[in-house]
Amino acid sequence: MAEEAFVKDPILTVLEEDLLQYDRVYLLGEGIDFGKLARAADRSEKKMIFYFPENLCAEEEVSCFPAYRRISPEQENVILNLYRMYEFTDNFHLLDADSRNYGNLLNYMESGVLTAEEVYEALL
Amino acid sequence: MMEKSKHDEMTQNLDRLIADGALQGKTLFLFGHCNATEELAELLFYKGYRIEAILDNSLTKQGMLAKDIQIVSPESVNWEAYQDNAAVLIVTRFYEAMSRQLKNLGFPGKTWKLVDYNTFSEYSLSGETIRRKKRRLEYGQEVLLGIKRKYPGYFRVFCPFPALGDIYFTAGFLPRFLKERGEERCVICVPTRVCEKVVSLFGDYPAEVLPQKELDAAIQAVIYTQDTHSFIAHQDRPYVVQLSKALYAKEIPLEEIYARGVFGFKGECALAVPTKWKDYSYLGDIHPGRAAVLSPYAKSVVALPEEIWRDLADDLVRKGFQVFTNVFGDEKPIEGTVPISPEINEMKSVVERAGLFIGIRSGLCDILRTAGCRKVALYPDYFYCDTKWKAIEMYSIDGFENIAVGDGFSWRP
Repeated sequence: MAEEAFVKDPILTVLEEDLLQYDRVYLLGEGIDFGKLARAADRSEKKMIFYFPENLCAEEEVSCFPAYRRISPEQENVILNLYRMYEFTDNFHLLDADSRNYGNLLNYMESGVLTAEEVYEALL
Repeated sequence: MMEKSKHDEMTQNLDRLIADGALQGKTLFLFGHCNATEELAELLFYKGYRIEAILDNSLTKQGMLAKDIQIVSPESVNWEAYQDNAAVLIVTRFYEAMSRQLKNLGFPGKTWKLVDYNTFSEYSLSGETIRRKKRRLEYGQEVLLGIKRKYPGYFRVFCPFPALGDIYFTAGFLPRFLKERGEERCVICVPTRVCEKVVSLFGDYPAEVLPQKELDAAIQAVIYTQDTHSFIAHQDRPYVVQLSKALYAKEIPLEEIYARGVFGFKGECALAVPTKWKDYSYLGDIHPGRAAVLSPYAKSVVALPEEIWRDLADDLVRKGFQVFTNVFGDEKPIEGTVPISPEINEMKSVVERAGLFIGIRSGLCDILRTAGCRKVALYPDYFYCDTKWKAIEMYSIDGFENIAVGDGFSWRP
């Protein structure tokens, strides 16, 4: 049986373009302190853009970030499905506090190994 | 030493390149200094090839020599001058990132991956890549389903990498982790029989040994499905685990990385003590308290020069010690010593009978943490990945004499 023709979701084209333009692309998930993250991004020398799912936060919460995109839940799903399927680049990461399936950098903050500032800088 | 299967893969791929004429007239570079790269260098020398340089992004490694080959930054090479007369060979798991870095630097030649260490990564969003990875994921979901069916109701822990120290930490922290997760029964999925034996030191956990690619695919399925009854226990594999980024800011010993970063423990935490040991059948051949066991070989660590071990062995023999070399498979005993090949669960009885253990810092040293004898760990003088921390800072073990081996090493037991 012939395989279905692959139709690339438009958000992936946007992602590819962002990966060319920025050093890092981050997708935000639950449990991240946006204020601390924005301050860490400010201090970083890397050029980065943050993808915020629309249902995660309001526009005013993310305007402190130097570069960001608001994405729909459908677009978020497309990206997450791909991210969880394989590593398509090492310049894209999901930032969240989930540690159900593997260790998370935020664990270091909760156990006192690193300060919050150190953790958020390490995330980037 | 590299695992035999990986060394064979490297050799076969290299021979294929040579037979195809891919290296004919090319200036050769290797990318990423590590144990495997040093073994590739030796193989190339053996086949009559010269290596121009080893490329490495670590600032601390640049300028050093490895196997008499200069380590340089990829940016320092004038790639245009080579046109397409240069070839870069890679035997690390970072092939995709390295290949991309070279392309961005204007490298006009070919990069070759000689060992497939990393089935998780392919830096492409092409339809073909996505289809291929989808098929791999579907395969992984079948493997995961098979494990669920074989062990119904068991929590599943996956150990992605066959380093014995990583397995030791996972098994050692497992009792507390399972308690905190409210789980009673657990199966541990590992890539080799030796890893299974390390697990068995800690109790009767069932261990499922899976070929690496199958294990990787099952782990991918865990990531994709966010399976609530599975956990991937490693400090930097696969790509979704970002714990090692903390090491750019702070030195965190490996045991802490596992306790706090991987398993998320707070407060006091101690490794469980392995108790399922067995006495070596030939203990009577070892002079009690007047023998030494040398362990010079490790898969994932840069080897120390053989003369270090020969000099140590000579010194011990002169002092009246009976000297053994712990060997496995094709490994050769150090000259003047007797080969000994106990099973993992017999090692404790061997070193306690002997009285002295001197090993390259490797997972075997972790396994012998609770052995009651004099224990020495020798650390090659290298930095942990591209961090600024020396291996001895990251991997020091309580209860061992931890000794760094640098130029002019003259330590004697």
